[in-house]
Amino acid sequence: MVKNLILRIGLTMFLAVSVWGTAVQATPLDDLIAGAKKEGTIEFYGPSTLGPEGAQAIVALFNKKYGFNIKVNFTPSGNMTRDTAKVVGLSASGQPPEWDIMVVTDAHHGSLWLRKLQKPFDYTSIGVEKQRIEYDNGTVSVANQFALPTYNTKLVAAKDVPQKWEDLLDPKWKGKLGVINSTHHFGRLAAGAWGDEKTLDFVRKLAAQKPLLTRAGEMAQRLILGEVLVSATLQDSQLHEAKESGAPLAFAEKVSPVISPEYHVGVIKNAPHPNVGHLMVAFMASAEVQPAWLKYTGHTSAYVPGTAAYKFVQGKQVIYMKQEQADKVDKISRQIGKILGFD
Amino acid sequence: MKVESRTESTVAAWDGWRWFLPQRVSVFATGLSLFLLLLIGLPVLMVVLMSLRTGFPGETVPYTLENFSSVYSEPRTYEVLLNTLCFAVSSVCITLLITVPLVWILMRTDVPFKKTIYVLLTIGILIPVFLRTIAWILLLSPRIGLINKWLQQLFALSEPPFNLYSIAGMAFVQGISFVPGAFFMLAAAYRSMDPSLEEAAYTSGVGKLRTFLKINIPITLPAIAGVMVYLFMTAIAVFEVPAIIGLPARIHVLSSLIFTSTTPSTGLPDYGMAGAYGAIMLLLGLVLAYLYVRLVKQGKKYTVITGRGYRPREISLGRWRWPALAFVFCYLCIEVFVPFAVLMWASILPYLQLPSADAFANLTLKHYREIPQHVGPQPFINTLILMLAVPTLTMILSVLVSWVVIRTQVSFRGLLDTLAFIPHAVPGILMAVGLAYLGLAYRDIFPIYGTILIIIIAHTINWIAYGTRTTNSVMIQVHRELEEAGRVAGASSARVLWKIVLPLIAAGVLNSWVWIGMLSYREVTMALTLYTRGNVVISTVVWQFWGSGWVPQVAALGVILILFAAVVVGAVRLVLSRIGEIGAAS
Amino acid sequence: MISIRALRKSFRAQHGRVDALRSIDLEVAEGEFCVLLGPSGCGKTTTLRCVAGLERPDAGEIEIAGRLVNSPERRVYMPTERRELGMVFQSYAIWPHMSVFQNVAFPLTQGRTRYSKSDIAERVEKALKRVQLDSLGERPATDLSGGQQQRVAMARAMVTEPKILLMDEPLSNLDARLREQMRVELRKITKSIGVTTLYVTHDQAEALSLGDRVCVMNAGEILQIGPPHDVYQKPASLFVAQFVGEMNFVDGTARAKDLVDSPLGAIAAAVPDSVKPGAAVTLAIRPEHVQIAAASSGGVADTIGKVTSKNYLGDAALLEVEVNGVMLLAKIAGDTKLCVGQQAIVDLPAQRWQVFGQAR
Repeated sequence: MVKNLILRIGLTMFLAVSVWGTAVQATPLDDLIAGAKKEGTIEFYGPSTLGPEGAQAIVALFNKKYGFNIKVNFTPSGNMTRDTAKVVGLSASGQPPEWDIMVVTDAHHGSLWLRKLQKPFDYTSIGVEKQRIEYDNGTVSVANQFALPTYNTKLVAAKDVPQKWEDLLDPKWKGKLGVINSTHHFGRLAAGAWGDEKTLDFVRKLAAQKPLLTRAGEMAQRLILGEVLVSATLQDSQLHEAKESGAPLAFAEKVSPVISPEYHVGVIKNAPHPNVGHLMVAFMASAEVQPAWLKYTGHTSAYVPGTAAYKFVQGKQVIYMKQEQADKVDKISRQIGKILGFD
Repeated sequence: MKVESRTESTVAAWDGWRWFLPQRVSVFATGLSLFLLLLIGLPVLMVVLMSLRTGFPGETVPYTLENFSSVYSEPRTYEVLLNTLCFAVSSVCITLLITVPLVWILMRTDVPFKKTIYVLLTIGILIPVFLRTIAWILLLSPRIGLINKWLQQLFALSEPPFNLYSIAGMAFVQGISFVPGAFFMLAAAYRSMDPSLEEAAYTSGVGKLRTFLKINIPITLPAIAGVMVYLFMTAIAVFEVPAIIGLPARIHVLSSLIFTSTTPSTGLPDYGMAGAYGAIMLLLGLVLAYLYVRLVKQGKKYTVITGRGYRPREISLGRWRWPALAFVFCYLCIEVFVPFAVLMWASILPYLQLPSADAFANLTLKHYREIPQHVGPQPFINTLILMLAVPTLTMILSVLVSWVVIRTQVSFRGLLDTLAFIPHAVPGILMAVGLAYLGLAYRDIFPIYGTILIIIIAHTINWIAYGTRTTNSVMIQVHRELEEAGRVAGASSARVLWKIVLPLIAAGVLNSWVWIGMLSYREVTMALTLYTRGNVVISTVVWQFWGSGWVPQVAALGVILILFAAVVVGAVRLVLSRIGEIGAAS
Repeated sequence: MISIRALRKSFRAQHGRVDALRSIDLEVAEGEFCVLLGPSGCGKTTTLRCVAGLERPDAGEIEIAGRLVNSPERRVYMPTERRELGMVFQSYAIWPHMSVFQNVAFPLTQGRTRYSKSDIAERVEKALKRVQLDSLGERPATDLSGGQQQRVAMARAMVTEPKILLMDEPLSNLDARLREQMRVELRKITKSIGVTTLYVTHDQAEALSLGDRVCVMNAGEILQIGPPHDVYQKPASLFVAQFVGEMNFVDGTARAKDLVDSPLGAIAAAVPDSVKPGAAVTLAIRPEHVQIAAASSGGVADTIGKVTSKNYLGDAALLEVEVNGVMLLAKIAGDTKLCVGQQAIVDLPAQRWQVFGQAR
């Protein structure tokens, strides 16, 4: 009889423990879900290319997955730098941020990270791959951009197309090059494969080619018109848009390494709706989001197999930015800007 | 008897006490001055504050001079300063070279199609400056410019004759864009010159050209100089042209430095540097403001009030009619027709390209169709709010200020006048940055950041100077005795202002109202600096499109906006044509 | 010297066309001082400006010194600067950015004929001396008083010794005293040079004192041209009679060739041929011809009137006298002992009456 009792008590205890145990194990996600249901809405800052439609689409997928009815308020990026600064400023004056989650470049998130303005979360605990997580659990990478030298296919013969970065320094390109003000492209080279010395030396020689300086968005036009024949770097989104309209532009695909600025998403410190935020961040790392992201922004994640970005990086040397490089990239980019003549 | 004397003494005491009360007018004037001081002074104060701190608005940082030391120890700063001055001087010179003859042709001769020309001139300012640069790149770019290519072919030149990416190129584009504004300012001054001064020269046997050179120009010289200084002050502050044409050639001016400090391509904004650069501009602006006020005073000595009030007879051009018309037409081509044609061309292309067989094969109207997709109603609504609120606020303030300055005997009215002119000395971009800083740092007190209100405030401050110049000159023409008669009839000052002065100056005020509305519509620099999701206006949308490289889309939008505005302007002009000239200021 | 034939001009105003000149004919002989007199809007300034070339008439011809300078029909138009004239503007039009000397020298330095430097200095000196401003040569023009500016304008107009001198109400901006002084000066100067002058004014006293001939205009037409004496004593129309000098008007009816019935009785005044007997006429008599004396010194047949007001002018007295319900203005030299309310004998000499028909 006593043995029966002990057995029953033990079983009960065992059951209780295991139930309680599993309950504990499921808590991070469940808590988030419960919290998110209460919050009901999200302030979403993202690239202007995504647009309110894209944001709606992604949130629709998100809602479907979790059975939510979250409303989204989307702010398209006007100027990521300025908006990042605004977050800094608001926090400094003790105010809550305007947005819960921000999708901005890794460099911008770097600035936020340096000032501890992200709300970190253990994203691995809710199923996000470690390689996607950055900035001390602050952000998750969503999609990759690529930057390479770009040329006008009608005006540059196949044999003249640059095969490596150093080819840009060939005297034949003097006066025919363009450089966009995204100096962080070269900054990433410096922080990554090349190091400061080599990069600065390269940039000085590049400056000696007397390139045409423009802001990023204008370069495609100059290439198309033939004002410049080759742009030292151009981002794939700009290239993509130009090609869509039929313009004869192409990447110099043989050039290596490929620079890859990333879009990261993270929750901002003191965000009004952190639970929805964290869930969204994790969701953005999933493969389901990729088609939507591709449709609206033209980008995909190089980490997710089967995507365009994934295919693109196969067999290439690609430079991604790590969190400890953030500060350095910023500083050296400014230096590079001065050398090139941007300010 | 006793009662009477008591009453008498009470009355005397009341009079005595009352004597110490300030007049109602003085109280009002003081209130107005303080309001203006606040309105204008706060952003300026912000700029000064900014320059003395590092870090971000909202952060508590100690005051420091390190911004100044880093800015002024760099030789680059002086190079940029020199560029700015060169650019500004060249622009103004080009403007005057075109405007002075234009004024003479349109105001004193019988050149045909005057009404049309006036309308076209007004339309000129509606095309945002940076959209015109598309046209200039296509024409004058050293590598691909059509004019360069053609001339090179024609004269077998080895080098392209024109390089758009130079200070000369920048000055050309900027100078041309100043002409409509300068035209109306000069026209007003010209009109106030006694026509018999010219006729006296004719009767003395002096020919027309000689009279123009020896009589018209010297007498209107103070006015011309005043306009020059005014334009110069604008030129050192403009931003669009240097950003698009200067940057490729590594030519930087102060405004672009300020802009890149507050909106860098990497990293975070450096308000401290912006403030330090801004301090130079501010100083420069103040010096020029002083110069302007002196010149205007000098000019007043030369204006003779004619007893007759008849308009001078128009000079008959005879066979010179065609060259004159050609000159005007040339200018209008450069200012209006060519840029507009290029915009139309760009809007029907899939992507921007020079005319070629290929291009013609691929024409499309899709950019027009897609406009509603890219641009919701909000920017239009915001712009409409802007175009209604800004001129209204500005003109109300201007009328009140002018009334105090011209009509009352308040002792500090000269100061008030100068105070109203100071905003022009503060470059628009600085004013905007200051306001942004104010809005960010003191969000609790001034919750204006991110709203359309902040743009309204910025624009209003910016054009108070212009508004008061107009209302000053208009109010002067209302003879003092008209008001005095009202006072004698028993009406209070306020009533006199409302019932007598306002109706008489209504036409002039309305003209300026329309003009300021148009300026507000096309203003980019400040709207951009203060831009957030909540206060998108059309000009920022257009700039964003341009910045994203959506040239055909921006061209389509531009074409529609220009056509729409042209229709509105034409209609307004027809209504106002009996009343007077749009945009005239002293 | 100046020949104006069938000059016509109309302006477009807000409410329609205004005929400023309706066929003006005028001949001004060499050396003559001709005054165009009339109320504002009569077309006198427009005529002057047409002669100057500052306005272009719609029709008609203008000849100066025998040369045709303007004829729309024959497509002739000589611009102002070639007409070799001098003009004084109502506002003087002194150029504020030059000195007095430079103002006066301007026609010589910038005009059609080139003069040598010494020549210029000499002529300017002479001109300034003529207007008694020789000491003010270096003064900036803005530093002058109204009267001084006016004289500079005169000097400038005459420095080239032009064939004709045009003056557009040059004295109207001066105060009364100065005006009278300048009137005398002006005539002296123009006569001493002998320049043909065309002078515009609305002040009839000025016209009478200055002109060799006075040309009275109204509503774009010339009503009468003649020596001052004729215009004053024998006005050709009611308008001229009333515009030039003071005039008393009495309504009457023409009874016969030289008899008019009126409230003042039958008056034996010559009736113009164009007036039929029985038609309404207006009788007119100058105030200075109305004789008044104290009532006591007259006989029974005299006309009696009552003095209703008296204005003492210093050198004359203006009295309003009521006679048979008609108000008459009488001007008496010096003063009179008559006071308001008194009876007075009124003598209206028949030969002083003029009769005008009332045809519109």
